[in-house]
Amino acid sequence: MKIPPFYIGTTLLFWGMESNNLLLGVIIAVVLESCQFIKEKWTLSKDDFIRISDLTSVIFITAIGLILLNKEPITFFRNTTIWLPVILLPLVIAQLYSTNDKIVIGTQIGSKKKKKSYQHAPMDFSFYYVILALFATAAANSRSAYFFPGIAFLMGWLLFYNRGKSFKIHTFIATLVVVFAAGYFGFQAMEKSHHYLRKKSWEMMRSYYLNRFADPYKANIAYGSTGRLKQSGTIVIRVFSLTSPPDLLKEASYTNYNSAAWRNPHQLFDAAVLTAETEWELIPKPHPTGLKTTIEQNLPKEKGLLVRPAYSFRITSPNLFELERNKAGTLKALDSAPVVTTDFFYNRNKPVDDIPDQWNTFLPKHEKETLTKVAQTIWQIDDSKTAKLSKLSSYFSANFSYTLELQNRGRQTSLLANFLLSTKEGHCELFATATTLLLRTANIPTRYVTGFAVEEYSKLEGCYVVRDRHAHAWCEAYINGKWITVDNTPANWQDQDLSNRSFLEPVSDFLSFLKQKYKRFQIGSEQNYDTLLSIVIIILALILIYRIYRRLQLQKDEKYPNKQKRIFIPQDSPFTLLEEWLIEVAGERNHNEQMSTWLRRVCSSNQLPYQEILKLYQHHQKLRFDAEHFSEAEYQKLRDGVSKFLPSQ
Amino acid sequence: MTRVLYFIFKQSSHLKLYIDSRMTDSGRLFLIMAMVSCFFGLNTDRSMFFQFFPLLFLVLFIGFIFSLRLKTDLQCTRTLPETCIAGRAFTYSIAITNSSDKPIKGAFFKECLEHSIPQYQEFKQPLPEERATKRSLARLLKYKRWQTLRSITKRAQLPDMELPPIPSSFSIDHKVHFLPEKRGNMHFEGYKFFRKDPLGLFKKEITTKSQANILILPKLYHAPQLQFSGSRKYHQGGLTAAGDHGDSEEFISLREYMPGDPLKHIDWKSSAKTTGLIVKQYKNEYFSRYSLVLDTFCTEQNLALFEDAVSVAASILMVQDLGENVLDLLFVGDKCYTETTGSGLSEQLHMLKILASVQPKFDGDFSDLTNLIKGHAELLSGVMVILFSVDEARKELLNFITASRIPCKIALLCEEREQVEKELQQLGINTPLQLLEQDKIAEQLMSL
Repeated sequence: MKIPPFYIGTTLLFWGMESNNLLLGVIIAVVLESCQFIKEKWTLSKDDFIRISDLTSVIFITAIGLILLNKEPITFFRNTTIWLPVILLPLVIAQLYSTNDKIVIGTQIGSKKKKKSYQHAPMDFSFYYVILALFATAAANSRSAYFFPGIAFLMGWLLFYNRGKSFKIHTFIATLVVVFAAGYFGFQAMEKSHHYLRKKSWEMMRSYYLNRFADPYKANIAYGSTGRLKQSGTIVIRVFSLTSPPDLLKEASYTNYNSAAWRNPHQLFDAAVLTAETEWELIPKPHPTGLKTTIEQNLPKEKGLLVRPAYSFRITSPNLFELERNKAGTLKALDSAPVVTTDFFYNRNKPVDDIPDQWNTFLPKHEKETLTKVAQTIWQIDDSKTAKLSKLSSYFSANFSYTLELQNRGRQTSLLANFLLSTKEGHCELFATATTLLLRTANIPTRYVTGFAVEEYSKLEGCYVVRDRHAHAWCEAYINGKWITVDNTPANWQDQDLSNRSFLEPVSDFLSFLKQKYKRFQIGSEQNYDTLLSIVIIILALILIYRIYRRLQLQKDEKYPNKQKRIFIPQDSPFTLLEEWLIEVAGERNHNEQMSTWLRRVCSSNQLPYQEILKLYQHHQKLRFDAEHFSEAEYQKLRDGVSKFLPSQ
Repeated sequence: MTRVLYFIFKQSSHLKLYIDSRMTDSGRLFLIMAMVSCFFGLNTDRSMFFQFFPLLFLVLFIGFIFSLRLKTDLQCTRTLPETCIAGRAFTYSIAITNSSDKPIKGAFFKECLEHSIPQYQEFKQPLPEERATKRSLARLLKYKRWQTLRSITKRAQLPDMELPPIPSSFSIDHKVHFLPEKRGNMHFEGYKFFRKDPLGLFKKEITTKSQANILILPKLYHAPQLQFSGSRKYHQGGLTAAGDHGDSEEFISLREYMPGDPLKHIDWKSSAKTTGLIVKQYKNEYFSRYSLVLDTFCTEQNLALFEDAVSVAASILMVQDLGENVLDLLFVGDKCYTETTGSGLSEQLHMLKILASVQPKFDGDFSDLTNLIKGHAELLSGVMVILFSVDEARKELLNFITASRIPCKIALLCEEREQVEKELQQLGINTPLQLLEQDKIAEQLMSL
């Protein structure tokens, strides 16, 4: 396969245009295409090519390191592919600027013997380079309207240059026109099919989960789970915030209470709107200005529910790859790194997050009587919504206490009735459930929310840490067109939880800190060392490049210690007249035929003295290549010798 | 497991052969591009490969359809010489006839070389180097073994030759150029003609059986004539089939001095009258007999060095003046061989043909070669030994040559001078050796 002249340069220009690296593309194109005009070429040996391969490997590994450190992990493959034309530049330059038309790709790295190297059979690398440049262009995902015409033009050019010559050119052109037309409709059909299939498969998955009435991510909960969680001091979330962080982080919200369990009728999850490679919109634009909080959450299975501050409107994350949300705003990571770092932008004054529906005022039949009875003791019917909230809060703080022990279940028919009428003590889930349902008796739309409280600042980690025992439940009420947080759990719940912590917690915290550092390093989000590591990588790479380059230079020096370019000044030799005459008489030299062989042939067929003419030829060569030592007498002798054979004018 | 791997390798070789016979270089690369584009183009939101893929698929599809109707009605007659030399560009001519009633344009000619697939029995046996190494994944997968076995029979790669337009019912002469890579017999099964589809991606080969052979002689370097200080020796009963060279005690004539002639035969009177030394030539029992000893005992790791050793032996053999002397080539193959040339015996070309067929010996006892030399030692005026590794067995040979005081030259081929010098020191070998580094053979051989 042959590459047409200027094809590599054009491909690189196309790459530069599509990947927003036009200047770089122009420079590389000029460098590569200049080889057509520069006549001087390098003489590179097989070992030199192998060293250049090693050099390219070093550049490649360096590029990978830099991309991992400085770009989002999600874009790693894409970025590496995009930069391939730059990374592989030394190899293609070595081929284009050397006297060889093929290069040897191999490595001396890892070979035990000095001279033993692993190597591939000689290959024309320029073609592979062009292909990779085209792939890099496609990977750039420019969504440009010029991509298809550009790629079609480049492909047509390449095919034209290598076409089958047994067919007429109009057959080729007609075929290509058909290909381009069908290709245009083909890619559009492909795009539409992909979108259709994706939509259909999502619908199928949703209906599957709906039919099974089971959400893999805890769409319903039961009492007690919070109690168990509270015993653990494991750090599960880290919150980085320049201002004071949000007090509560929402994980999920539920609206339907039945049989001592909260469920969510809105189990349908939709893909969150991806606005950029790593950015999602939770509400449509325009976005208000707001605060930013960075939350780092461990998702060992690389999927799960994400916690978020209330009123979040936009999120960005470098290690979150696919995200879904449901109507209630619960966020579900479908694909992520094991440690997800997410920037949440939120605004507490944002009026509407989502609008309540009939489920937010739904009261379970078997609890209705108890709830109405209790509500009547708390507020008057004609109290305002805000007054009702206030009275409810006072009611709980005056009559209820916080406990994690649920031993005395009481004489009532349900757990909630026991809590409200008999025991009057419980944990946050009971307070949240009671608040949510009591407010519904006053026709206030509410929902039950689970999540975590943010309260502990770690000096070691320089951020707020959220432990398992900080798991919390509260209520959100829709008042004056806005969801507000109503947390009636007595304020001392955190102190009670704290009393259960282990004395070894500081040790486990330190270990957890180290483990987290390692995890961050693994996924490449250890921001603090990025610049330092980038510099170290560049320095190490430069040292390696210098070592390889020095070896190249040294070998050149050893091979040609006193290399001086000899300049041959063209000489006007009388022998050329004889040569011209011989051509007239006997015809031109055959291709690759040596001069002496030709002279012998010509002399034998024309009965000329071969030895004598050969001697004249040797003199002629001396004049050509050693004119400095060619005396006037010798020149005269050569002229006389030649004139002897030439016919008189 | 081995049988499964053999099956996979065999089938993939057949598949590769089929693809090579149906697709051009461009076609194969377009196929790979199409597969990559298909894979990455599935998600149309993530990249632009989905715009690339339909184009690639369509050109391949249309090219394939065109290729089904391609016909090339040509015949060929080769004019092949008997031998060629490895490493030197070689040209032979073919006469191509277009017997159809239409002119043929854009046709290609391709030689159909023997395509040998290793047998299962060969594949089953581990390579000698594998026996010495630990178990590894590479050894388990046996890919290297397959590659090595395939490469043994591969002598040269003949490129596709594009032919000029051939008018109908017309014959043209064309030259085929190729570079023989490895010594040995190269077998031509037949030849193929093909044409490309309009897009240049697919082809349809028409194969014609026409068997032929060409022997690739070992690669030759410029080598010096060997000069030994030893004298000629008495060979009882002369040399069967020898010409009238050498001498008995019966004087025949005078001739110029040649290295190896005994000093006592110099005719000082005649020498004084001329510029060089003149010796008296006697009848046929005294002559110089040299030996060229080739080490054939090797492992897979130094197979390349063995090939170089054969080339060095061939190079030395070619430049010796064997008008007056006799040269024995000693080596061990399936048995011990002694081939003699010079003094009107077999020609040097015959010896080259033998060297072209020498096979490496992966097992066996090196002492066979030592014993072979011991058997000839008394008759030899000089010995040239070509080795490519050193060990105790070779040390014994070198010690014997030194002890028997036969004038000798020993060439040791190596990859790295420093490493071999260290090995020689460890083994305590003090015999003067000429080290020939693998990448500097041509220059170092001249100083032999």
